[in-house]
Amino acid sequence: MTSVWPLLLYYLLPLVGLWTYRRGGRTGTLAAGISWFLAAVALGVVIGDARSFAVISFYLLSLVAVMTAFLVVTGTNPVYGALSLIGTFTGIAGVFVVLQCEFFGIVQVILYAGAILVLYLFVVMMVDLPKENAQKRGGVRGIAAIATGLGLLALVVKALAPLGMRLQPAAGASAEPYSVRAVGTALFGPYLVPFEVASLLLLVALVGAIVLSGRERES
Amino acid sequence: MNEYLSVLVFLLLATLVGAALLVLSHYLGPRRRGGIKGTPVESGVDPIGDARIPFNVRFYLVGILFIVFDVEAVFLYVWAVIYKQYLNRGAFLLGEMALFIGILLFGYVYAWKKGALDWD
Amino acid sequence: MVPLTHVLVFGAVLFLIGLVGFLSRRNFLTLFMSVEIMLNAVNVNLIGFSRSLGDTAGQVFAVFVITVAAAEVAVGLAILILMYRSRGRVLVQDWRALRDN
Repeated sequence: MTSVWPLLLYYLLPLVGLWTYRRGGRTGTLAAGISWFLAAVALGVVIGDARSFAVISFYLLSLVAVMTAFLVVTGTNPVYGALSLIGTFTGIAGVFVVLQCEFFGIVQVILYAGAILVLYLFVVMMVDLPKENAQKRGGVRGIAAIATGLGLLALVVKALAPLGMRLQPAAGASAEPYSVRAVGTALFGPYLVPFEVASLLLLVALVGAIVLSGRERES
Repeated sequence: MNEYLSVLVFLLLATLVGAALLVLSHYLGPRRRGGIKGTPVESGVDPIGDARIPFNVRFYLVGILFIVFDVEAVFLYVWAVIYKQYLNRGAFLLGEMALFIGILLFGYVYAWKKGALDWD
Repeated sequence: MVPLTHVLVFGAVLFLIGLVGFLSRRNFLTLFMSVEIMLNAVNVNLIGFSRSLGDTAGQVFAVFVITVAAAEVAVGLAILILMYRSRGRVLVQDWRALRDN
């Protein structure tokens, strides 16, 4: 079942050959995903049971995230890629909310969809890219990428299969470990040094970006 | 999870209303393309070139500053939530955050001195 | 409750998409977006484990992953802009000039 994903991905990559990718396919993927999402949301509302509602929304949100991630990787226009990435981030944020980590859902929206994506869009607008030419299908690059991904996924799924038996969800866990308070207590207690180093990392990133973008050389 | 049901109903309704408006106006509205409709409004000038002119690099620098201080705000939020709970270690917590902000303030001063905040 | 395995498979599929995109595309911006997808997949795994084990460490690491992603984007995109200025395009094969012959 999981091996279908890489094959699908391979055929959606912008490669010329056996089956040339058409623009309509992308729009169709998005439309199908959205309609699926709405249908299942309606289903969840109709059922109304809290547990099944959470489970259904998890699968739907993950589906939205995976589909938009497909669009990011397979599209040739970086502007649409960046816009699809918003869908991925929002879907993952929704998954976090379903997993009862509301704080991370909000951080995901604020930081990824709000800040990082804006930066991407600025850069996309700034560099005015020519369209990436489609590569020949059957080239080493695409096949190697798919083979690597498939192998990795097989390994991960193989490793997960026994894990699912042993690690049942919420085994002796309360609601408290997910709260912001618990995160803060850990962050400003045992993880104090990484926290301070994170500020150094941000400082270096800030200085590096200013130096590299070379504003003073222009004027 | 039940408290999110209303959020979902809201999302659903918003999506439906938005989509319905688009679809309805697409199918019901009259459309006459071409001719005088394509000309600039009233005494407007004829458009020159492409609408997608490259952005200035200033936007990027402002975006960088925004990201860095956005991350800082996330840390500050977590810190503010637990601060009251650990008032007996208040000075220590304050020092931690002061160090964090101080290091980032250094970057802010650097950006200021380098003129990353100037807009001309 | 969503089983942990399904959360992890979701993370693995996202990671796979990012990995395939990173290996097969040539546009530098798309490569960066693929990296973002991979980092997000890691976050999904960390939070899934954190919830399932009732351990906060996973969430703390997720915060650090987000911080590193922000820093990576800032510097990476600055390098991309530099590259665009010198080459006029941002394809990966342009980096071959860095290789020593």
